[in-house]
Amino acid sequence: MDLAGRYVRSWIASSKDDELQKTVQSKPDFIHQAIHWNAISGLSNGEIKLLDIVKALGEYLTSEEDYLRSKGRVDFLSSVLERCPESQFNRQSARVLVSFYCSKLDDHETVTPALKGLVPLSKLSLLTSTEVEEIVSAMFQHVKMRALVQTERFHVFTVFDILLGRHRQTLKSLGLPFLQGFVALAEGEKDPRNLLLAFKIDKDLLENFDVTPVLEDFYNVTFCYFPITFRPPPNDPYGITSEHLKDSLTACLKATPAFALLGIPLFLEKLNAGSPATKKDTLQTMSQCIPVYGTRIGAENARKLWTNLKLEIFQPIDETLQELSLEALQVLIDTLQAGEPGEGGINPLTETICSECIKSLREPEKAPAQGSIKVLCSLLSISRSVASHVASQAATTLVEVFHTPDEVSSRPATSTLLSELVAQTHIRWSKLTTDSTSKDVESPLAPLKEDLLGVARISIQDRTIRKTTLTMLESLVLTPQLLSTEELRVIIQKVTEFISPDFVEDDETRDASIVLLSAIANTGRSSLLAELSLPVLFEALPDRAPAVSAVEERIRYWRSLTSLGKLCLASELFEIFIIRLTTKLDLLCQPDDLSSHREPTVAYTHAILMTIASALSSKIDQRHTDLPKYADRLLPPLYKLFVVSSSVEENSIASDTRLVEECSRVIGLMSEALPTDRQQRLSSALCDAYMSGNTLDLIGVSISDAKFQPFSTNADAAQRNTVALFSAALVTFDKKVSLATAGVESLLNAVLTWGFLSSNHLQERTAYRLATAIVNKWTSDAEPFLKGSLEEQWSSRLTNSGALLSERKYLVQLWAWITKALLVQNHPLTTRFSDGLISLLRDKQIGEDAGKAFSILCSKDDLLTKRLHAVIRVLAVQRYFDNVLPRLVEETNAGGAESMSWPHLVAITSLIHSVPRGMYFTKLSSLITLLIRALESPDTKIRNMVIEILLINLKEPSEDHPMSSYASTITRAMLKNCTVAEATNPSVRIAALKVLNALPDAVRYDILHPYKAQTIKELGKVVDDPKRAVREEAVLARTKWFTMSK
Amino acid sequence: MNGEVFNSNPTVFSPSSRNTRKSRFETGESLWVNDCDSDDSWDDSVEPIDQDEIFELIRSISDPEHPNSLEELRVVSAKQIGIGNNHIMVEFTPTVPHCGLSTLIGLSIRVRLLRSLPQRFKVDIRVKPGSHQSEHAVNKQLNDKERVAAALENPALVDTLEKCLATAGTRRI
Repeated sequence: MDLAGRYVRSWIASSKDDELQKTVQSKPDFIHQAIHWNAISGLSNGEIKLLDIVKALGEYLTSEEDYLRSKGRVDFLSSVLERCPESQFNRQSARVLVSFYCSKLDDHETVTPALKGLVPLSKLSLLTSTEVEEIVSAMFQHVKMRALVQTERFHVFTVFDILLGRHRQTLKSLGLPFLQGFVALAEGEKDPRNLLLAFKIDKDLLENFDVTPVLEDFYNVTFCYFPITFRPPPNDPYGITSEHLKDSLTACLKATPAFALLGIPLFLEKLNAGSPATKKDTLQTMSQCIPVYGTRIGAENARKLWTNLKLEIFQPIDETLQELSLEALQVLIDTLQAGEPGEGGINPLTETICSECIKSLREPEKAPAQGSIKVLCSLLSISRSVASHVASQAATTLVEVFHTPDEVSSRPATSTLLSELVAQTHIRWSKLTTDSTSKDVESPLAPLKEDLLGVARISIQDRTIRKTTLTMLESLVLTPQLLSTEELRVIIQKVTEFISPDFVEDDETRDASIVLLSAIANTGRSSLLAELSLPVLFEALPDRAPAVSAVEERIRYWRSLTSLGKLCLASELFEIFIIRLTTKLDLLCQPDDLSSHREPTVAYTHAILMTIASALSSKIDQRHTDLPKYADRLLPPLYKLFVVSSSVEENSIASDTRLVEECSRVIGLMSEALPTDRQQRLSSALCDAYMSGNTLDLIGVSISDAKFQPFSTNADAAQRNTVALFSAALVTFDKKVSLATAGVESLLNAVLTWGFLSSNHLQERTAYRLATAIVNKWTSDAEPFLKGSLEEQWSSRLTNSGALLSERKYLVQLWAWITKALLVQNHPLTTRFSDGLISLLRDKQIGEDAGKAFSILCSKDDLLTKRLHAVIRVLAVQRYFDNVLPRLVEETNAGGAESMSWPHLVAITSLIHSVPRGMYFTKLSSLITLLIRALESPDTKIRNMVIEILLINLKEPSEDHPMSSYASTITRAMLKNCTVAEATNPSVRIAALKVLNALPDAVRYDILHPYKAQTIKELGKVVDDPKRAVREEAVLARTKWFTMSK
Repeated sequence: MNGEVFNSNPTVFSPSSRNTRKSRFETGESLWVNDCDSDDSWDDSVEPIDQDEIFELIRSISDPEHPNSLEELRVVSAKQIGIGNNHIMVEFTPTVPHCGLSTLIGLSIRVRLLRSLPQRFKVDIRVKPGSHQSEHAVNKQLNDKERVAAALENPALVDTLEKCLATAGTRRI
């Protein structure tokens, strides 16, 4: 008792004296806090009893003096209560406190702390219905919400929220007065924090209490907030968004079906008069409310809804609103259909909508027809009975319109509508019939099949509507069990005309036809295509290449090949495709033709290889699993073609690098698709053939006299080219595949020496690819090579300026590739190789080559990828980049601005150019001066890289662009680089023009304004560039500068 | 602009998604199907400005009255462009003979070409003979330097022009 009294007295004393408060501003609060905590800790450890505090406070609590009552006393108690453990209360004290607080609500001075105190009190499980009733009635009687500030009102709502959670039954028994009282309190609330709570309570009451007599009152305190226009202030500490409010309000609006009669008219009003944002909100809310309101919406309101939604759909303001309206309409019909299915499963309103829309289909060219078809299509999702009704009615009408002689001119529109209807029927019907019981339910289009095919028969003759007809046929084909084999035959026969190489009208029809035929193939009718379509296409492929002058024939075979490549993806067709085309290759590449008729033969062969590659690539993209089946049909013939001819003929096809490259692509794709054991077999056969000249396993025949030795120093160019085919397969192998037949180290040594003699780009690239793939995947086996032969080359050639320059250049590239193979897997040897490359930058002869080689290190390529089973560690490249870039920058600047090391600058440019912007943009501002310096390079390749880096960064939106301060330098440099005199390579000119085009978007107008006139004038000359592609860019850039403004 | 709509329901044709230019393979110049100007294979040949290129410049200009391009409304076509030695002749077809916006369309073509072609070209812009009721007046207005210059002094007119030209560099496909 004494302790409690002491706390109370010190509390009063601390805040009593106004003078004291003024002099030590913060002290009273501090003291309060301290006293509080003492009191509370006293309470919890039992030193003080709650009763003692109340007693001690006694005189002050009931003081006549306003000041004493409000300022500290009730407040003090409330604060204590807030933290007081429930064990301190008993039924008696709870009752006393409740009635004390309720009486304080009446008192103007104490209402604030009283509300605060009621919050913890209402949480007490000791409360009986008597106290609850007392609290509620005191609240209703005394609390004047308008007179309270936000936090106090928040306490009021909190108390109700708590009571509702704990004493629902008591509140229910209070009946109507309780509901009325609450509505009166909630009315006029404006603060978002309070509203969230109020909406929560509203929703609860609406859902769980009998609100019928006060429905209108509830309507008034909820619907008045619709639509929510609240926008959170910037840096709102409470984090309440308009979405929060919208969601909780919508929860109220859809809390009871009773709102139907009141709510729908309000929605209609908002929909009628609102801005697009309001409309959007209304439509979304309606879609949620309508299913709850159900049949209580009433026929009249439903009709009005349709009238309004019709307007939004038929005369759309924008697409989103149209879509939301369609959605709302679909929900409405769905709800009505579920509630009152009506005669024959069709609700009267559904019937009305359907017939209204179908009526406007009779004028297919007018705008309402577009809206109608959308409405009809959305009805197709409602139920099977509605869908059947709609689909058959609409299709019948459109077929009728199509055949009406007066409407011939509107056939394109009719055909488009019909195609849309059929497509949507197919899609939506298949969703309605996914359950197993409905597998055999006939599509609503089935009875109309004849009519639809009749329309198609006519419209497919008409060029302008052929494409829509093809789309419609595709939907019909895809509908299960609709078309008979005979009908499919007719369709295939007709459509094959459009993919025939002699059909010249347009390529779009050809593409659409192939889509249709592929659809037929995918439904398991490939045999029909093999019988009816393929012969027409294969017929256009001659056994001997057309003469140079036979342009038509050449176009025919290419058309036929393109169609075949797209059509023959289904398993059965692909097999025919592979067999026919490999046979064709064999026939084509006759020694006679290769000498006297070379160029056309090679071009034709190339086209066939390209077709096979693109079909393979499509199949891989579509994850077809049947590919390994064809390996034995494809790989041996291809290898044989090149290996044999390179060994015995003078004009071998292997001497043409374009052919070898395309064939490598085919082999690579095929080998990629093989499982590991098949790759292993291929690996052994390849090593036998290429390393030992034993070709039996690879191509099925032995070449006598050991003439096939592509790795030998005596091999001619054609035979050396075939190494690319070896590499194509090898780089795709899984690392589990063993290269033991040849031995990793000896293979690498062979590649190293072989590479010195490269006579073309293909061979150079092959050497790099082989070395990179082997080092990356079989690293530990390769280490003896890396530490042995390669180190030998380092000292004997790479660092020896007396060695042959071409050999040193080759080795620099090889070194860089091997560095990359190591760095992507974070291998410890990376440092040795990377350091080596950096030190080569100081070399007078090959420094710049080393610099350029940096573009290899961090770039993405098609070789070191997961797809080809490369060993890659996450972020290894990023880590390497982050290490090497600062080092290069430091070494560049080491000699001061005057003696900047040029190879280092080249290295930095190459490195940055080869990586995505995300890897370096944080360091951009420090790099930019170096880049601008590199723009002065006499080497167009370097300039091109810098310009492309600038372009990527300019295209990135940013508030105050880091490039802004260099705008004038960049503009001048670009104007220079887009002239033929300065940049003979058109790519550089194009890139420079693109930068000029991007500048006005990235840099503020006032910075660029001084250069406007000059730029437009200079570009006036560039629009006369000899190259068309350059002129196109010049026009874009010039237009941009003409129209740029503040 | 007055609010009068001259052609409220024009026929809209679908624009060709493809470039009107044929590839070198299709023209028989090359035996190779993938023979095109890729990055490293620029040759030294000069590609003169031709009909297709001019058409490419004007096909996507918007019609002042409809949200469609001049190509979609068949106001311009590649066939209606003639090119001679430093001389270009562009003919266009108004959608209706009483179209009051023909001058504006012609002007937008003129400004587009003014900005996009080298100065050495003289450009003639005409409506297709017989396609407009005041053909002569429109032609005169479009090919008179002073009148064109005067029209371009009018800020409201330039504003409308820029709107038509905003789409000129974009293909809608």
